[in-house]
Amino acid sequence: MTTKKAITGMIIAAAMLFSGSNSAQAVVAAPGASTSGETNVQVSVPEFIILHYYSDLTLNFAAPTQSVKEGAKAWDDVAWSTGTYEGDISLSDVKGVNSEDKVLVNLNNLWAVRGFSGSGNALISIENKQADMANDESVITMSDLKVTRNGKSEKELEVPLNGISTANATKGGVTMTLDFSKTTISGMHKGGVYKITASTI
Amino acid sequence: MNSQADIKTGLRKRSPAFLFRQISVAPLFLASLLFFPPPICADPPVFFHKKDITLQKISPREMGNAVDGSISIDEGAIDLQLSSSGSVLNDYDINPEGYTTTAVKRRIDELWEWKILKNKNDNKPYITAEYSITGANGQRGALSNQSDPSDSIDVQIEPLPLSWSEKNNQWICTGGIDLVLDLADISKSGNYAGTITTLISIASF
Repeated sequence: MTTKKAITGMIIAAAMLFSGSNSAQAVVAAPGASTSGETNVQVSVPEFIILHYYSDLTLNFAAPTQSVKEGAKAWDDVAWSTGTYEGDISLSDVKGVNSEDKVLVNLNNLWAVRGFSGSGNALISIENKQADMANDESVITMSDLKVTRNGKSEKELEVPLNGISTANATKGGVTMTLDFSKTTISGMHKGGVYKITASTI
Repeated sequence: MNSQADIKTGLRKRSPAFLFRQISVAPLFLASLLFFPPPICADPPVFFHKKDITLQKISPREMGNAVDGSISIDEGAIDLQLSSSGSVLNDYDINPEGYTTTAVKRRIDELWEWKILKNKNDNKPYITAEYSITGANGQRGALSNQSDPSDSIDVQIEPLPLSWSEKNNQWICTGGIDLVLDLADISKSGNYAGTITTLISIASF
């Protein structure tokens, strides 16, 4: 490198050094001086759901000890002829569990969900995994299982996720129909299984 | 002596052309001094380490979850009394207690740095730093969801003590913060964003 080129380079370097953008932003550190800056920040919240459930549900039906008043009945479907019974009698509106094959059971607050999802909602579904509850030869059959919340009942129900807080957890229930038509003895009938699934959506 | 005479002669021969060519550079140099005076009387600016910071992703474990994902929690057994018609006779509820953590903390150790020349300031200056955070939706004290700005995380800023060091005739002051993120009121996953504003002042020397 020639002397000329070296000196030229030094001059240009000096010009760049003393005219850099840093000095344009410099502040004098004196009492009262202040400066500020901004930093963008972001954080990612994962998608997940927590389902709270009861793993063991026991239903104890009370015995129907009260007398049942049937009230007046118009036997419209029955024809009487000279004192001889000729028609079938259907007592379809008889009250009381002893005469009903099926009982609708509505159970609130059997599950709760918390968490975060992209939509802020979750899908709750129920599946009848094992319908029969047995006690020897006697059987009670579960059917028509649905999840419920705020008066709605469906096989699949979309519910709001209220975040992670336990205090704000979304709670719901279950409805089912129990068929006693094959129930012949009293006592504990076991074996029924339903499955509740909660999914983020 | 002969060699010295040769060098001087050589310089004399080359000087006029050399100086003439530097005239084109000189105005640039002078202009730079005029418009951008040397920072002899000024301290370097406050240096923010990063313009954009992505905090460590929140983990379900931080909120008391046993796993880093979805989970079902067994609340045990329940015994219900029903009438013969199927009506529930006893009061009951499902109370998912014991999992109450909704706040997580994220630390930004070195948010900013300020170097102050010691030759002007013999004593370490007294510096204060104030912080605020504003969500992308304009809400103060929050980070807002980038997909749904109505969902926002409440954020508390806890300043860390200022850190001091000395190097190359400079006081070096470094500031950081803890962000306490309260996730109790959000329901949506995804990215939450905002801007931290830092105001740094010299109270006294």
